[in-house]
Amino acid sequence: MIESSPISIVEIGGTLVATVGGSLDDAAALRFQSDLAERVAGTQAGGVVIDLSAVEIVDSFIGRVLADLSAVARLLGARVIVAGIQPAVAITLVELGLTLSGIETALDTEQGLARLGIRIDG
Amino acid sequence: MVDPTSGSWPVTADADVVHVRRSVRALAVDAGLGLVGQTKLVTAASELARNIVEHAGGGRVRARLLSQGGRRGVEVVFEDDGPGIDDVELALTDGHTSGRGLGLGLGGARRLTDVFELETEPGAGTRVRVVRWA
Amino acid sequence: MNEIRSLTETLRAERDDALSAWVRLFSDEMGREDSPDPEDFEVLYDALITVVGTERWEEQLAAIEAFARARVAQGFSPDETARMVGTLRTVLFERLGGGEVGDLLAISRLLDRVLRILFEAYVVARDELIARQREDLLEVSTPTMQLWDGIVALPIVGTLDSRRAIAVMESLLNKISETGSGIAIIDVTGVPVVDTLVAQHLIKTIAAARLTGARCILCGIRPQIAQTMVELGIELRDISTAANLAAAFSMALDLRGEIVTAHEGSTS
Repeated sequence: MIESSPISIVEIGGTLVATVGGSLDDAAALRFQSDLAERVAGTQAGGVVIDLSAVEIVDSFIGRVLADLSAVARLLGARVIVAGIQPAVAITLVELGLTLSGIETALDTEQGLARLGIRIDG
Repeated sequence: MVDPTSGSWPVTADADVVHVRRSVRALAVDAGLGLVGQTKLVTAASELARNIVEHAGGGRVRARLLSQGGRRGVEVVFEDDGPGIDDVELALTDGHTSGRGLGLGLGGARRLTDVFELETEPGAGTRVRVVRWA
Repeated sequence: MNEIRSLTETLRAERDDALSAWVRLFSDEMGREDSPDPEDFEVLYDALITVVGTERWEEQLAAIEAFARARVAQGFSPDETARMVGTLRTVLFERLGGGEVGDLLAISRLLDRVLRILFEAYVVARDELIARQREDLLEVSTPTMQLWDGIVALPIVGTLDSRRAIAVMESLLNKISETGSGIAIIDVTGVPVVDTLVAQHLIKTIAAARLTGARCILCGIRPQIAQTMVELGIELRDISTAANLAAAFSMALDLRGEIVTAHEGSTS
């Protein structure tokens, strides 16, 4: 049984916010990558915030998907920010050897959007 | 009656990897591993289970709670009858990959665990055993 | 095998008598006023009966080890526990006195083995206790503190071994997450030696902090250490550095200034 992990992609003022749910199998990750690329192209989004705060495990495959996704979005003219990586995940990623040094990061979606020039009024 | 202290699962497809992650996580929680320890072990298990799917076409994962001299831990064993690994040293080197990943799986799994044992023979399959203590 | 069987039977038959004699003798020898918990004695005695009869040590091993751990946790000294075995030996010899020398030797050998297991379990349990206390101490000695809204600081004092480095990393990341801070200052003024290993730990910590969305500023690297690092070929590329905590704080405020400006709606 494949459990689909809900990934919601919402548009906020020319920016896409993709919130990733808990368990992501490889196939879902790849689908996400292509879906997001299409949305970026379709909306001509200037920025993308990927919210990983609900993600408990990021392994080398997901890491690669994130890196590829970033590169693709950049080619499509969008700036990508990965937000909300949890401490335990960050520690594990670094131990794995994945520093994702080419990808911008932010503490949470709000700060990610702020970096892109969008402030959410409370 | 399901034994909560051990489990064994076939691994042939993507979805199985997710199942392994979930099961190993449950055992890690039971063994009293902290959040970082759990995350490291489950991530290592994800890498190794995926290797089975990608390179061996299928195999088996077994896990159980360990209790040794007062400390608890989780042992996970990954077995397949795949082609085996030709050059182990190379395979453990970061960046080397024969698949679609980043080549960090095997070496990474070793860094994320306290015990890492690898047995392989070209043409006769591979067996990896890892342990993480609480 | 006949001798062993009758030994088991004897031990069983004598159980209640032997137990009360044992407890009495132990209390006398230790000069205790209060009577010790009879359960402790029963555990050992029953383990002994099983081992004598079956030679199956593995199962009894767990019981004996648990017994030793409990003694450590309760604060009993190894001497007291060893005396328990010694007094049991006396009591059993008295009861088997008229019998086969072979029986006495068998009992003695078994009790010696029990002593060795107890000793080893004691040492392991004590080591674990010390390790746990060391962990607690580690937590206290790696305090990450909040300097300002959005800025945390981690002053590291003393040598940074692997265990400490891991504790430091977790402490910093958790604090960043808890306080929602965008900037973390790592002050290594108090670290006497920065070799390749320490540098690696620092680089990992900084990389992990960056992944969670925080920016790190490293300060307090002393000139000799800077020299050593360059000689070792350790380059901290892409890592902001400052001479001291004050300079780092100033840099942090400037950085926050940038972030605050972005907040106010300017486009990238």
